[in-house]
Amino acid sequence: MTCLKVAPLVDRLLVAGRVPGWRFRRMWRHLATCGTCRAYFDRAAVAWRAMGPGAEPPQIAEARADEVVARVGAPKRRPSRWRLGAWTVAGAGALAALAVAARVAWPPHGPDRSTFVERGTAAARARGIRAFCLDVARPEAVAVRGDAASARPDVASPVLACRAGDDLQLAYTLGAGAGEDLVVIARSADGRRVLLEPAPNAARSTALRPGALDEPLAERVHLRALGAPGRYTIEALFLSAPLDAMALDALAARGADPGRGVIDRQQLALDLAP
Amino acid sequence: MLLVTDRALLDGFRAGRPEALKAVYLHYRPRLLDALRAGFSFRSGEVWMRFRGYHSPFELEQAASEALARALLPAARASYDGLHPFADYLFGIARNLVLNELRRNDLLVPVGGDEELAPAAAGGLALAPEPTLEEREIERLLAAFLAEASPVERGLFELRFRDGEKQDDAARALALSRVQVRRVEYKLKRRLLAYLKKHGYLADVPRALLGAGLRSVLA
Ligand SMILES: [Zn+2]
Repeated sequence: MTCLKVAPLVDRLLVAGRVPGWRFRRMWRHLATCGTCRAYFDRAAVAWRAMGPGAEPPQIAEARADEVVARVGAPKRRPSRWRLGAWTVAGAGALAALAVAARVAWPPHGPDRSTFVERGTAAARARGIRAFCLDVARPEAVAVRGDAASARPDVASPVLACRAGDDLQLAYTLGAGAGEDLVVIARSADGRRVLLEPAPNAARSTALRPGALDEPLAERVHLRALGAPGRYTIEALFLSAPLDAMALDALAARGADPGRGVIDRQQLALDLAP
Repeated sequence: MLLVTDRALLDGFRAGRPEALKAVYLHYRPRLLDALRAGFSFRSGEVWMRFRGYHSPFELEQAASEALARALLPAARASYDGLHPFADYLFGIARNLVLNELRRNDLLVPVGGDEELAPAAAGGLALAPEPTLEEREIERLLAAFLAEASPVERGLFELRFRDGEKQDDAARALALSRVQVRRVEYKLKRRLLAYLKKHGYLADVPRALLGAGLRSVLA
C-alpha cells in the first residue's frame, strides 16, 4: 500500500468506523513502517480519542484482537519479538541507560511512588524521510511517478522505482519535540557516495523543524547526475546536534561516520531504470 | 473482574477457545491502554524511575496488543490462577514487556548531555498523563466545533462519543430513529475531520503528503 492511499483510508476508518478488513490489515502494516503516515494516524487518533470513548472506530480493537487470537492460537508460533515500532523512541536512551539494572518486581509493590521522573522517555517520535520521483518530461505538468518512505535497516528497505530522466525530491517528517538535524547520503551498489544532502560545502547539516510532515528538502536532484541505471541506497542520518562544515566535509570525503550524535538511521532503495 | 466472576469464560480461556480469548482481549484492552498511556514507576537500583507512557496512539495500540498476546499464550493462561484479578496479571506482563524492550532495544542510544541523563525530581503521583500540547489544541478545536453544531448534534456527541452509549439508546434519548442517528453521526464526524483540516490540526492529505515544495511544483 502506498502512502497516498493510507491517509484517505485513515479518514474513512475514523468517519465510518470501519474499512474492508484486508485494507485495514494492509494499512496497519504500512503504519508500522512509515513515519509520515503514522504521524497522520496518530494526530487523527488523538483527536478521536479526545471526542470520548465512544468515538473510537470499533474495527481497531476487533481487528487487533482477531490478529492476536489467530497468532496465539496457531501452534508453534510465539509472538514476534516486539519492537518499539520501526521508529525511534526519542530520548528513551536515558531510560535504557539507567534501567539496565532495574529489577521489576511482580506483583507490584505498594503505591506508585514516582520520586524521579525520567525526561523525555517513551515519547515515540515519528521520524523519516520520503523520496519522490518526479516525472519532469513535460515541465508544464510535472507529475509524481512514485514515492517511498524510509525505514529502519532492520526491516526490508522500501524501494522507489524511478527513471533516469526523473528528478528526485526528498522530504522529511519529524514529530513534535526537540529540533534535530539531518544528513542524507545516497550510494551506488558498489558503495560509492553519489549524493550528500546538504551539499558538502554547506555550513551545517540540515536543521529540521519539529512537527514537520513531509517538508521538502531544499535541493532537487536530476537522477541522471547520480550515475548509471541500477540500485542505489539512500540513507538518512538523524542527528541530535548539527554537524559543522568540517564534519560534513569528512563525511563527504571519507564517508566518516558521524558517530555518537546519530539518533536514528533509516534507508530506502532507489531503482533507477534507463 | 471478568475472568474471576465468569467461570464459563475462564474455562474457555484456559482451553484457548478463540471466542473466549477474543472476549478477554476486548474486555481488558481499554484498561491496559489507559495504564500504558499513563506510564508507571519502577525501581532501578536505589532510585525510583518513571516510564512516562506512550503518547503515540499507534505505539500504544501495538504495545497493548503485544502484552495481551503474551497474556493469552498457553503458558501464561496456565499460570493464571483464576482467583486474583486478571488485570493485575496482565499489567505485570505489560510492565515487564515495556521494561525489557527499553532495556534491550539496541536502537536506544543516549541522547543529549549529562544534564538530560540525570533524573529530575518530581513529586506526587502521576496516575493520569498530563495533557500534551496536541491534546490541549484538540480540546480547544472540539469546543469551537461543537459551539457551531446544532443541539441535536451536540446531544448526539455527548451520548454517543463522550458517554459511549449504543446507537439505539442514543436514538431513544434524542427521539430519533436509529437510521437518523447513524446519519447524523456520520455527517458530524465527516464535518469534524474537515474542520480539523481547515484549521491546520490535520494536514490536508494527500496534498500534504506531497510536501509544500512539491505542491508548488505541481500547482
Ligand atoms: Zn506512508
